[in-house]
Amino acid sequence: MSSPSITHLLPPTPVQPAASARLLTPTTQPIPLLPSHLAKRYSYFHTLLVVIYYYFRASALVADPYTAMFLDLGFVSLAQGVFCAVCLPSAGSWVSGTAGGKINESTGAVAPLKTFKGAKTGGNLSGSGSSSLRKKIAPPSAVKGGSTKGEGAGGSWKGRVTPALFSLILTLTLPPLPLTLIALVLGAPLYPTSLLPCTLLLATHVALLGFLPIFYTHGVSSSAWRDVAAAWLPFDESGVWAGTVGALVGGWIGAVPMALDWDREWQKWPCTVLWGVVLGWAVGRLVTNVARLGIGRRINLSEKEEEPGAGTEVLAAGPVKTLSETKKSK
Amino acid sequence: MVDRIGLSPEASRAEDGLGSLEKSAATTEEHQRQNIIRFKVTHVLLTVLLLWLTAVHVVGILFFAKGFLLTRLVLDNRSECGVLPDGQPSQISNGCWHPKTFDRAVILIIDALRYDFTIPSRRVFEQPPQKYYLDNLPLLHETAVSHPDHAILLPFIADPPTSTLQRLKGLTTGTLPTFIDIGSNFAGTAIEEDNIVSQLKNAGKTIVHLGDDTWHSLFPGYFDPNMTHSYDSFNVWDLHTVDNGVIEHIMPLLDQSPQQWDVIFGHFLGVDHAGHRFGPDHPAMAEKLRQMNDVLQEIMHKLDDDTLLVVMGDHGMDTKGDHGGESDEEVEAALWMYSKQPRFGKAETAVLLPPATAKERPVGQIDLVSTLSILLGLPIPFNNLGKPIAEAFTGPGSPDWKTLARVDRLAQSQIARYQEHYSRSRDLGLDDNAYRDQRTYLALSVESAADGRWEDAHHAYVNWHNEVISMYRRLWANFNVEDMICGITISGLALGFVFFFSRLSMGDKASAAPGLLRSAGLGTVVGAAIGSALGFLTPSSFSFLPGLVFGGTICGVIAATVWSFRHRLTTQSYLPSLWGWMALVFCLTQSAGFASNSYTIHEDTILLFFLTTFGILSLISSLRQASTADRVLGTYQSVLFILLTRLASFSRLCREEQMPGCRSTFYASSNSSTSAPWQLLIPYSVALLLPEIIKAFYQGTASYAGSAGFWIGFSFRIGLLLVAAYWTIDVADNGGWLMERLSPTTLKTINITLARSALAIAVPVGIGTFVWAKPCINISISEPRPAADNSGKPPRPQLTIYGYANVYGSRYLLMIPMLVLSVALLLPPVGQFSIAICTWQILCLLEILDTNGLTISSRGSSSVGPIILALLGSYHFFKTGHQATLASIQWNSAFVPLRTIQYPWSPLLVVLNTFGAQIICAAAVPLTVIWKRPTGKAGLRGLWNDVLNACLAHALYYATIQLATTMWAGHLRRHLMLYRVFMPRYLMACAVLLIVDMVLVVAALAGVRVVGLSVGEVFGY
Repeated sequence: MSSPSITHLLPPTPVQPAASARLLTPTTQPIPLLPSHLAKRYSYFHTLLVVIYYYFRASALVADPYTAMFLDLGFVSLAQGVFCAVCLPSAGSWVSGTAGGKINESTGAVAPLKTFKGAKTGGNLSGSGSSSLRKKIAPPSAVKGGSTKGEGAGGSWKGRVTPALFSLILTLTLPPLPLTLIALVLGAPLYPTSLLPCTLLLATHVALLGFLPIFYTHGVSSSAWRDVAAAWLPFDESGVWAGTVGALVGGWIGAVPMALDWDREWQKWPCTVLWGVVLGWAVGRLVTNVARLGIGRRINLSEKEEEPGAGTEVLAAGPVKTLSETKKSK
Repeated sequence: MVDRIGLSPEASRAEDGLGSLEKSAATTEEHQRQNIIRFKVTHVLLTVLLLWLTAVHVVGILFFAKGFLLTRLVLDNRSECGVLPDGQPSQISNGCWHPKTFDRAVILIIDALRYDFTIPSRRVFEQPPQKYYLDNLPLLHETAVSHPDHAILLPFIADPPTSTLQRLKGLTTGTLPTFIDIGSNFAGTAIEEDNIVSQLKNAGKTIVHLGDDTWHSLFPGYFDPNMTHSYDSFNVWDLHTVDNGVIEHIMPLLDQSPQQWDVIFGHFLGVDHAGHRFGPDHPAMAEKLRQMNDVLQEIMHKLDDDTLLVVMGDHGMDTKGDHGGESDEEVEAALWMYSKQPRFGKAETAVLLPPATAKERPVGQIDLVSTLSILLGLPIPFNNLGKPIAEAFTGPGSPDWKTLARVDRLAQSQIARYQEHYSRSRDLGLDDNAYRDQRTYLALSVESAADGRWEDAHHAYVNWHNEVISMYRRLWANFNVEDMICGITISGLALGFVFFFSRLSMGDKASAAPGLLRSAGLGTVVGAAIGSALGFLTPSSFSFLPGLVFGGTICGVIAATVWSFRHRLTTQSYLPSLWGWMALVFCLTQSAGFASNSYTIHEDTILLFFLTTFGILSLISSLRQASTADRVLGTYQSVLFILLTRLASFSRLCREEQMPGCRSTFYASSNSSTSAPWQLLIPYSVALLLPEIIKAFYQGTASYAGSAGFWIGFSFRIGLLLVAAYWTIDVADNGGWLMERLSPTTLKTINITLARSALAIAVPVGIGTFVWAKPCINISISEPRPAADNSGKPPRPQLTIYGYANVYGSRYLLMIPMLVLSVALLLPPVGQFSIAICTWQILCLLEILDTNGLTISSRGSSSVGPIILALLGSYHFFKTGHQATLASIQWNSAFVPLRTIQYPWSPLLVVLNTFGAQIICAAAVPLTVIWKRPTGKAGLRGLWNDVLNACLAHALYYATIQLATTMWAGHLRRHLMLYRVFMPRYLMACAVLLIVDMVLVVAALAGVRVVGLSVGEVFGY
């Protein structure tokens, strides 16, 4: 009797699950900053460096977007790679996610925050002792290899450069194409086709700024990337996720001045969008990495719900009387 | 897995009306009856509520329009033959104010004769492009080059709006048009003020008119009834009837000897109609222009020595052949004057050839009246503001500056007299400085004339005239700011009320309707009393009627707001969710963007941007859903939604301001208004696929049952096939494929039959199906199974209801094909592509809303669905070949099922063509509530509340846009782009708001009532 189409026919259960219960549970933890002072300082410096670099390349970008963006790839890859190596724990060296732990939307904001705070205070209190502290918090299954990389904060330099290189390769190959597609569906020009390489380069820049650190810290864990696709990572003190969100939102806003009829050279595709990406990225990083606001929170995409009962309250006026009567009798 | 519902016989039989009153003994039946009555009463109350809102919108729009749409005072004074404008008696015997040059005149208007049609392409282009509209009317230029003393060819600049009726007013009175008159193109009214036709009549001349019948509505009774022949002007499909009629009747008149006429006005429409129907770059245009060339040649030969021949365009046409706006191509017409005897000259001796482009040495269309009047020995009409065209008075050989200066002087004193009278009748509000330059030039002109320096006098006079004209242009942009502010206040308060009532107040709005309406009504009455009393007490600030209307509206809205504020305020957080923020940002940024001409021009791209953004967000949200079915379905539909949005963006019709960087794809080429043959694939694909797509959405919940199969799978498809056949024949007709086999009349008959059959399927069959259909469910009763638990109960038969999950939605969705079919019939093939995508996107949107918990229910009233529907409607407005310009109205659609203009059908068809996308989306608004709405014990309870929420949220978007565009148009009333960009957008926003209001009342609320009763009959109310 139970054919697939008939499952649809079931009358809905009287009480539908609340919005939070309709959702999956995000499993990723906020990405910590490595507990060394260097990491903290360099993460500030990095934000500044990248913004200044783009600022000085602005005229070159306007003059010849394709060449400028292509040449910039080198510097941005290097800067982001160095940032990852210096400031972030590489994938596998930290507890990046709860292995199927029950963190739902409402409590999710709190639980990872605790883990994260523990790590952070540990880092502040006893510099090198942090790894042991983190070990305590982490479930044993997730710490594989963590104990061997004891000294420093993120393991040996060699152990950082190799993942940085790997994640660079992944960043340059995987995200640019989907990001290009997103740009195109949002209205990036298809004609003339000579602009398509520019769009691809723009997407590569977004990938380097927004996704390289995620590859570095989360590797290719499918549950982590499911969270990334659902924009469900928690904001973190290292400013990685805020940078990603900021870059995308900034690019979105950056498209705004293009339509104006000022006839300026810089209004051409994709200059303003790239600047929007960089500024949004920087703002996102400033808010979480420097000002430390909203850390541990996730983007909430659920619609607001009225309290049950709010819709049934009635007024004593007009045909409402009959309404309440019938309601009682029902 | 079977749903068991014991249907009692009582429950399945629902009867309303009084008949069941007595016999209803069972309490359930009594409740049913009460529920039905309550349901119907609420429907009526909500209808009244929305109608009241519509009325408030109308009043707001009217108030603003009253102050914003410009008016000019029409003076009734007339010039007299014997009295010079400065009051002296005229001493001239051979004419009125100046000796006449010609006895008779043949004045021919070739409608929409653009200047570049008459100029050899090699003069403009190094390598002339092969265009059908170029080089096919060489006569004018040839004669002007070979016989400069006999013929002059000049660019002839129209004052927008470039609609024929407005242009005829300007051409015969010499006045500047004001915007308010544009609406009268469909119903011309007689010209009351002084004009050249009435001056001719007063002088006892016999006037003959041939061609466009607009002249008769403007000048009733002026023309000689025996020789005059007029023809219907609005049948733009017909390229030849008017022209052939004019040619047929004009030749005998020219051959008469002695002539019984003095002036012939001939008005050819073929070129204009070819432009409207095919666009300028089409063989039909070439053929038409060559025909005109031959006709003019013949007329030229038949002319005698004392007859003046004038040929002119009343306006130009844009790249698609339409007109009405004020782009360069629309205002640049051509003027050609010819005389058998050498009588014309040059104003600039250095230049030998006629201007190569319309940018050089143009003359205004208002200049024609004074020129003709003096040439024919008539007084210049009183209200004229034009100056004589210099070339007509300088005479052959070396320029005769003296005559010219004298003629100038006459026109000057006439304009000065008009100025004096006008400022006496209406305070111009100008200080003395405004006249300073005028006085300087005038003094210079008088001084030069006194010294005999006639050429200097002429130039000083020209400068004076430029000053005057620019002053009047500014002056008649004289807005009534108080009225505009009143209008904005009303619209703003109405918007505030709707926003507060729909978004910020909780609780059951449907049951609140009576109280709300009562206080609104009370407020209206009190306000009307106060307003009219104020009108009596202080007549200076308020007159009676506006005071009454304004006071009533304002107080009604305020009372309603106060009432809802007092009764509905809850302490819940008002901060919206991310979705709410998104909707808010979309509305507000777009509203702010209308302050800039760029964002108004590129609105279609912005809407694409917003819609895709929504799609991406919904994609992200879908990926978070726990249920695999929701996740997969939501992701799939989101991706589809995004791709469809982008796909629709390939259908574009660029407005002039978007060039370059925009490629029109709506028609065969950017210079045409016909569809390319390959585009015929679209209607057939739509007929093939669209019913299948809709069917697939029904099958998702096994709802493809009941009337759905017959209506969607059969009737709708047949209708779409008829539409496809219609457009095939249309393209065949335009391309001349069937020329040998079938005459154009036969084709038109076939096409009208096809169109009417499609409409018959859409409207009578569609409405009938929608009203009388049963819910789209299938009920099967299976054999009783032996009870598994052996409890001793007798096994009961099991009832399986297919389509239960979406009873309301599938039933309501039956309405949409009806609208889609009607709109598709009126749209060219690419427009059908867009409207089909629009339909598909609506369905995607519904699934997205459902899978992401965004539908409007008792749990929450998300504004996303209705707002995205509004964006979708606005987006597809642009994708169906429209722009926020007057020229982009597809007037042709009025002739799809009709041969001639018929009221009220023709305007209705144009509205349906223009705003089809918004109408479909507005009708789909209740679907955001009832798509997959659970049916259960609750029955219809809360349905009206949710529907009202959805409707108000939808109207909120359009009302925001309307208020924003209105405010910006008012604020930027001195902006250079006002008439090109801001005013059309403002007019469009007002029209859309009212249309959407009406659709919500007529389609959405009524549809929900039908669906509610129909579903309630089966599942309980």
